[in-house]
This record gives sequence, C-alpha cells and structure tokens, in this order.
Amino acid sequence: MSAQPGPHCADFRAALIARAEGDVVDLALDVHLAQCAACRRELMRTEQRVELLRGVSGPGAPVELDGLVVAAMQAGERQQRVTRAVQSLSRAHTPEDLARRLAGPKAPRVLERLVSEDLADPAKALASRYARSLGRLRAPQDLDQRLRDLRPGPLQRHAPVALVAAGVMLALGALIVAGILHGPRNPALPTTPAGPVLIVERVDSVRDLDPLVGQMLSGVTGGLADAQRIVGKGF
Amino acid sequence: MKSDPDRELVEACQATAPTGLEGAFRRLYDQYKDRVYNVCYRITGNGTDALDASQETFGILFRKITEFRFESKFSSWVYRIAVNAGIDHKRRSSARWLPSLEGSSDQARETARLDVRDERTEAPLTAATRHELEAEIQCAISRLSPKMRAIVVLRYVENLSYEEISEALQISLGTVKSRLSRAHEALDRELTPVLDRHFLR
Repeated sequence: MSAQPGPHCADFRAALIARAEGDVVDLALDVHLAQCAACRRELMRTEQRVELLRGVSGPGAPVELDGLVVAAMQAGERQQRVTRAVQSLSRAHTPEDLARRLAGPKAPRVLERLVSEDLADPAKALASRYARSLGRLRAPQDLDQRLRDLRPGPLQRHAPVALVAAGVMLALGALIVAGILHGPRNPALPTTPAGPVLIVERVDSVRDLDPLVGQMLSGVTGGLADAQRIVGKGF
Repeated sequence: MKSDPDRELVEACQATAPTGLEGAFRRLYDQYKDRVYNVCYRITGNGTDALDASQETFGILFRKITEFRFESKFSSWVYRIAVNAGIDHKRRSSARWLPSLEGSSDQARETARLDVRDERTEAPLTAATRHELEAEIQCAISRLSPKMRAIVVLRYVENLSYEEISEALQISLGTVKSRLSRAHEALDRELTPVLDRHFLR
C-alpha cells in the first residue's frame, strides 16, 4: 500500500471525481482504492471539494433584470426589423427587382374608373372635375369676422371731410381773431375805435398776411406751400 | 432523445413570435431567469456583469427563439448562451479593470458578499462564516480559466449531468471529464486552506 500517487493513479482521476459526486459503481476503482492510500486521500479531498462547491447558493435574479430584458427585447425587435428589411433588399437580384421592392404605394382602384370616364367623354370629365373642385372650395371660417373688422364705421367713413371742415373753420376763426387784435393793416382806411371791425382783404401771397395768421394757416394746412396754394386759389 | 420539457412553451413562442415579455415567453423567462443569472454571476464573479450578461442572454433568446430546432434540449441552448455571454462579459470586464491578483480576490470577495439569502433563519455567526466561505469559493472559481469555470458552474452550481454539459457546451463527454478533472486540480490548489479550515475545525 502506497501513500504517494502511483503510475496508474492518473487513469482513475475521472472515476475518482465521479465517485466523489456519489453515483458510480466502479469495481476497478474500488480495487485501486483498496491498494492506493494516495487516491483514498484524494477521494476524500475531492468529496469535500464537491460538497463545498455544491453548497454555494445561487443568488436569485434581481428585480431590475425584468426591465433590462424588456429593453433588450425592444432593441432586438428594432434590430430584427432592420435586418429583415436589409435581407429583403439583398435578395433582389436585378435592378428591376430592387426597384419593385422599393416601389411606393400602389395606385388605388378608383383610378381605373376615373381614367375610363376621361377616355369616354373628356369634356364632361373635365367639367365634372372642375365642378368638383369648385364645390370643394370653402370660405375660411373666420372670413366673416375679418370682413367685419375691415368694414369702416360711420365715423371712420366721414373722418376726412370732417377734418377738412374743422381745419377751415379753425383758420377762419384765427383770421378773425387776428384781425380783431391787430386792427387794419392799411393806414389809409379809417379806424373806428368804438369796437371791433372785421376787415376782409384779398391777398395773393401768404407773405402778405399777418405773420401770425400766416403761421397759423401753415400749421392748419400742413405747411407753407399748402397755405400758399390755398391763398392762391382765392382764400 | 427524451422529449424536451420546454417544448410546448417554446413552440408557443415560435407560433406567435413574441413581441414582449408576455405570454409563453414570459413563462420561459420566469422559469430560467434565476438559473441564467446564477450561471452568469458565477462566471463573471460580480452582480453588474451578471446582470448585463443575463440581459444579453434573454435578448438573444428573444431574437433567435423562432430559429430553435430542438436539436438539443432548450435548457442546454439557454445555458450555452448564458455561459458564452458570461465569459464575454468577464473578458471585457477584465480588460477594463486589469486588477491585480490580490485586488481581484478582494473584488470577488466583496461581490460575493452581495448574495441574497434569508439570514433571519440562521445565526449571525453562521451567516458570516458562510458568506466568507462562499466568497472564497467564488474567488477560487473566478481564478479558473473560462472553459473550466463554465464546467464547474454547470456541474456543481446548476447540477447538470455530464451529458447535459456536453450538449450545452457542444463538447464531447471525454472533454467534459478531462476539463472537470483539470478544474479539480486547480481548485485543489486554491481551496486547500479553505478545506482544511472548514473540515478540520
């Protein structure tokens, strides 16, 4: 009986492990073990090792695995779609085949009827299409409101006339006041200190007016040129 | 081959391609989520990478389930996807961090402490001891190569038979046995102090 491994011990190595795992009847191994102390010791160590390894508990899958797997499946699904599309294209052998696979949507069935109508009576079909297109036109929903917003009120309609009338009245008033305050400019005319006198005088140029009146008229009419034009027309 | 216990659910998914986490796919998900997460956790060695790898596993299942032809058991297929996702994430994660051997063991120990277990049913000392023990075992598993890690996890954590492992990893029975044997040798070196402490106490 030997305590050191013999030349044949290596031949029994697998059988020894199987025995340590507990389910093998092996007469040759039994005979060898009866003669070899080294293998008996090795069997004991192997049994202990197997016991330790089998005693390792398996950790349960953590809860976050569910979410990760769902994400992987979704990614896989996208990848599969792309792969299928690429494979489908790669199976096209000719350019015509490829063009057919890449073709867009097919023509709707109604197209055949429309073309038949066109061929049978082109004028009627054209008129019908035109009428349909007219019928399809719809005024925008906010059109009424927009028109209401654009329509001027009574005040807006008469505003220009009222503005001109107001301007003229103001100018006249200014002339009257100026006449009252400064008196007649012609020294030849007699003055009557008894009360205000209205003097009406024709002038050909705005420069002939009293400077104050000329400035007021310019202000009302919008400028010296416009004032001159009014004066020239026989103001 | 024995009839696949998941056949009905899988065929239901194939008949109506799943559009989300609902119906037959939801039932498959509920049935496998803990197993998938557990495999990913033991292979990556930390919760964050395990979550990412589990997400990737179910994403692949969702996309490919219509292509599954029952040439192997559905569960073997799921395990294969989970193992590959776990190994990929572990590789990426290692490339990102490049931790020292000491650092990686600390990291594994810390993450192993996040295991969820109902501690109300056991004494605090026992819970602490088991946490420590599990951390050391996880650390030892993490030091194995990805191929050996996958074998150990499927065999001892998921209790798959050699045939199921062979089917899941698409390797021969002989390869399963030889890899498991090498994994035991490596684990023996890593776990000897743990075994001594645990069994000689």
